[in-house]
Amino acid sequence: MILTVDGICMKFKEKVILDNVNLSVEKGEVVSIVGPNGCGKSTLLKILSRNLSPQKGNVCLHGKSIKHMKPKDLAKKLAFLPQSRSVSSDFSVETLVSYGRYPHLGFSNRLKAMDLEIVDWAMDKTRVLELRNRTVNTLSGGEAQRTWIAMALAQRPDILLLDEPTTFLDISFQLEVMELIKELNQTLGLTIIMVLHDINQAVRYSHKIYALKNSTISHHGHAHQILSHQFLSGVFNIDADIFTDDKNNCPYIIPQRVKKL
Amino acid sequence: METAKKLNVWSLKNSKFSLILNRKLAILFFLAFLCLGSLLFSISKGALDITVGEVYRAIFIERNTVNHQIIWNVRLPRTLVAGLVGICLSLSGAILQGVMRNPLAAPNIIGVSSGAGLMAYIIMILFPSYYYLVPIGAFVGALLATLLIYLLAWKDGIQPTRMILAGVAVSSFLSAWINSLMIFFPDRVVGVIGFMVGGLSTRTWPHFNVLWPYASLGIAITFLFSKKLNILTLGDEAANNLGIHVERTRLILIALASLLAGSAVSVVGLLGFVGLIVPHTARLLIGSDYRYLFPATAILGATTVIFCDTIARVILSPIEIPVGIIMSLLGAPFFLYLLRERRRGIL
Repeated sequence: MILTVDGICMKFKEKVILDNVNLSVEKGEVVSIVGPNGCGKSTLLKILSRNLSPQKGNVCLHGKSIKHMKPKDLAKKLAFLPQSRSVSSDFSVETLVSYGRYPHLGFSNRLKAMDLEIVDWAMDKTRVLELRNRTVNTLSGGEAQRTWIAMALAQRPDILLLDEPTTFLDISFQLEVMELIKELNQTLGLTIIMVLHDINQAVRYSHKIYALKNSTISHHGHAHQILSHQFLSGVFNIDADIFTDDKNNCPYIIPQRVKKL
Repeated sequence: METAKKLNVWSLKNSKFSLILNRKLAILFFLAFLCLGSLLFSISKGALDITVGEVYRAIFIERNTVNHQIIWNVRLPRTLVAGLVGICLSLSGAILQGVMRNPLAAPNIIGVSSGAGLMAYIIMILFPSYYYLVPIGAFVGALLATLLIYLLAWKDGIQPTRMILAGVAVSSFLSAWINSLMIFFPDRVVGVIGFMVGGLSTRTWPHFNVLWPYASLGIAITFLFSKKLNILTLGDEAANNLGIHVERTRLILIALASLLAGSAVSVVGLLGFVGLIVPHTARLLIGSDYRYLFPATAILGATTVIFCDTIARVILSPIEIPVGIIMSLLGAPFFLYLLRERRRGIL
């Protein structure tokens, strides 16, 4: 197991956000966390990336708790792409990607030849090499997302955490980003954990799915086998038809109606 | 084929990359040149005009002339104080705009002006015999006000917006006390007005000697933090992900901004405006990358205060206008001009 989560509990004031959440991820897996709005998926991802610390429970990376790891050591193993982020509009793509090397830099904070090579490699993998001198405010949504993924890649992490990587992108960029994630997983063996809204994307692109409902994991299992009428009504409160996508060899759904409570 | 393509990309990248770098270095050199110009302008202009050649002789060769007396004892220290004050205030503003991710951030929102002001007023109005404690009192007042704002804004960490709002509230609370003092002791207000407006008249070597240790310490640490501040501007979560201690870095930077602005204010009084406008002007000229923005801000800050102080001395000579007034009168239109030009894409 590359990452295990044991009995995470999280409360904000009196409101329970997460209650005894467990999950485990193997090396090289793509894992999606799905669930309705407000179920705590983003909170869970923030706990995994240590942007929040849980009141109870443990997150272990390679069997070691992340609680007392040094920030830079954690950043070398785990990259997190948050949804909320900002960047000064006149930074170039290359500058932004080079920040991914920050946890690896020594006291002088200077990029060495090897760091520059890795920055180039990361831009090449995410196909933003041609954009390296463009400023980030001139990029399209998809290009910007690939640039941020390049920055995460330049950290050379074992695990990549993505918070809703396709939200706010139009459909071609969504496809582009999901294909890139798949490619990174297959060619680099990168372990990927992401929060997704689109159940069809989650099913098509992940190995395993965890569904959060009422602050806890209600279902989990193999992505291609988890879909059922009972799952969809239980987690998302919808009636849907389930079909099979022969080309990609995976199921997909068409939602039909919201169930009355 | 593959290699050729790669080589091509490399050389293209390198040429363009160095072009951008050269442009930024050229801007820095140009600013340094301007700074030197304003330095010479400031030393040679005054009640008695002295040519640049005579300035050189008066500083390095002759020791017993009138020129030497004027330059060495009056103009040079004042100009150096002006330069240091400009550097401190504008760097402080540049740091805060980055840390708070807010373009309106300036030293006064972390309580530097109100804290230093109240402390100076208390000493000057209630304990006038201890007037010589005003600089150190103002300095301590500035740091205390910052600390108070930081503690009030703390709630599982600092959120920039909350800190700005706490800053506004604390500043107006402290200003209320300043105003009360002014109303209850109207006869003693006259001596204090100079401190409120900020000015450089009669500043000389002792002031410089008080200022430079804090200033150089602050400037040196600021430059060490340029990359961290760049990463901090990406957002708390992104910075945390890259291995930055977000809260610790933010606390250090806020303390640094307070130290820089506090030491400047303790020597020249409440000089507003520099800390807000100079960093923005530098940003318009050279971009947001703090590795270039810090030096550009420092040089431009020194230039601005030195130049404006010279104008303030000579324009209605022998009457001196407080430098803050000149700075707002000249600087604000210039800044607005830059904003408009930038929109048309000239810069």
